[in-house]
Amino acid sequence: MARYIAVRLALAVVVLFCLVSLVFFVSRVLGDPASLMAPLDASPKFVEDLRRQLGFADPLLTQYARFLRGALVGDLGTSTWQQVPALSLVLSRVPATLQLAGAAIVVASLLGVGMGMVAARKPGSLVDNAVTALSIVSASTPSFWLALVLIVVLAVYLRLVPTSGYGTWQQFVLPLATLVPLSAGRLAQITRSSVVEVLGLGYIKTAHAKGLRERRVLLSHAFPNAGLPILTVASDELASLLNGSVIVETIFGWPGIGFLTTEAITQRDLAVVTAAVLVIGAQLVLLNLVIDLLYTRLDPRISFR
Amino acid sequence: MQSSTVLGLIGALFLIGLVGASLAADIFAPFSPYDIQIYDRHLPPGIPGPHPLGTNFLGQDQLRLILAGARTSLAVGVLTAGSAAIVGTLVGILSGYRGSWVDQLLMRLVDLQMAFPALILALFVLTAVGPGFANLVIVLAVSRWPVFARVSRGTTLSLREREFIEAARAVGCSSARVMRHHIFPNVAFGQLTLVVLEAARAILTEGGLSFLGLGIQPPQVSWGLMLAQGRGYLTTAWWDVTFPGLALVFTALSLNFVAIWFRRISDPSERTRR
Repeated sequence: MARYIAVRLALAVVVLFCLVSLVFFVSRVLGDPASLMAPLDASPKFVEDLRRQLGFADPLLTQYARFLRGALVGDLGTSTWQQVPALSLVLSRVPATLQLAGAAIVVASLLGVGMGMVAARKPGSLVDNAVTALSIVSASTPSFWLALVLIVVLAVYLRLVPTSGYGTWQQFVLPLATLVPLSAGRLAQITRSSVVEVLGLGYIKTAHAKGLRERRVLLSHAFPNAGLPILTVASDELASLLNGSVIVETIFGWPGIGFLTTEAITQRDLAVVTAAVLVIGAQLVLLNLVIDLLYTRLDPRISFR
Repeated sequence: MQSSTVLGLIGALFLIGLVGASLAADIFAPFSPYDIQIYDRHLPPGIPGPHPLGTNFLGQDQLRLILAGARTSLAVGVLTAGSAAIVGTLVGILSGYRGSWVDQLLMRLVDLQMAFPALILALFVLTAVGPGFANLVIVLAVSRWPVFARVSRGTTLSLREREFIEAARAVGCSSARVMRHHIFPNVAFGQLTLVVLEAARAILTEGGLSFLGLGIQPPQVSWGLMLAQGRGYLTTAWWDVTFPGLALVFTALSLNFVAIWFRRISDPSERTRR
């Protein structure tokens, strides 16, 4: 077990190292950070001075070493926009993002798994068709448009909830209503297909033959064995919520990493955008690590290699 | 006819109609999408006259803009999914057929890229390198080729063991020839469903990135860009954000329907199931 964790941790470090390097080379080789940071109407001389002053004129490898050393101790530069360390600015926004992503995955799991189980029990029923329709329609509906429609209908015309902001439970409603359908649809589909598969197995017949009630068979016999694919999709969904709530956070003024990132992009603040990419990358790597470890607990057949 | 066939045909017809209408509008419409008539700004849809879907904040015709945006969206979808499919499939076939260290190296690269946060990385690259059509397509294609690589590698692995590949090798075909003439045609057809699904995904992502200002840049027309511009008039002109959004949804839905249809045609096990 200890060896397995050590190997997974080492892999996580490799992934992060590659991400840091990729971010460095994209911004320094493909892009031009000095002209990005300079005002749009800056003279070429100003840009040249800025480049020299910030060390972007140094040899590439010198810059790379400096960047890596900084990344190692958590120094990803200073925000040109807010004049504070970029990393601590990004980290201060982590809780809000986690709250939204966490709430969304909980609601989506309850809804999705619930609907998927009902659909699996009665294939071809109304709920079954609804699950299929939900998953196709929600996969085709861009979140940024759904968000705007919900704002117009629920906040502007019906005046049920505030259009944006953060702090009260009412302000959770619209972002959740935007994020949940897609995840719930995917979870419902995978739940349906994996429960249907398990329901065809012999031990389920045995459970029925013993005279167990339908609910008991479904919840304590079928569900645990259908659980792994569901967990896989749920973790994928959580990852894409952490990664992809950029647009939803921006529209609803939710003070998480995503909103900070788009603000930093408008302010041409490369240090903050870099820090945001790395923090989100680290979150994903950590999530994958936790899920891998969880698998081994849930399915004893998965061995530690 | 089965319902998936009906929906698939509807989807295909919608897409063909969209392209046709978009081309026809260029030839027959009395004005260009760029015509600004500031006195006619925010005309609501449905009133008799030249603007059936209303006008936007500059007085540009919505229908004309949507038809122009259709070409941007479909071009992004086709180019992104197409180039990701070509690169991914070639890598996948090479990886699956050669095996050993080539396979190890390429598949670790795929794993690595799948562990990256794709959307935020796309934001980062477009910020650092600059937005625009070409950069957008490149970034999206680079972020999605591993999907094709994984699937085509899997298919190649199972094909490699089949008799007809063994026969090809026995008569003296070189590895390159086996991959090109015997493996590739069999892998490529199965990738068709994935290409269509990825095109839908690329179109939606393009919309999102353009909405944030990092995708298509004005004066090029994009549905995401229209939504971003209409966002400021949510309370006064609902049609500014309604129609471009519906266009996106219908296009993505059509592609999804076509993909389901393709899957049923190409997979015999799906064909017998109802």
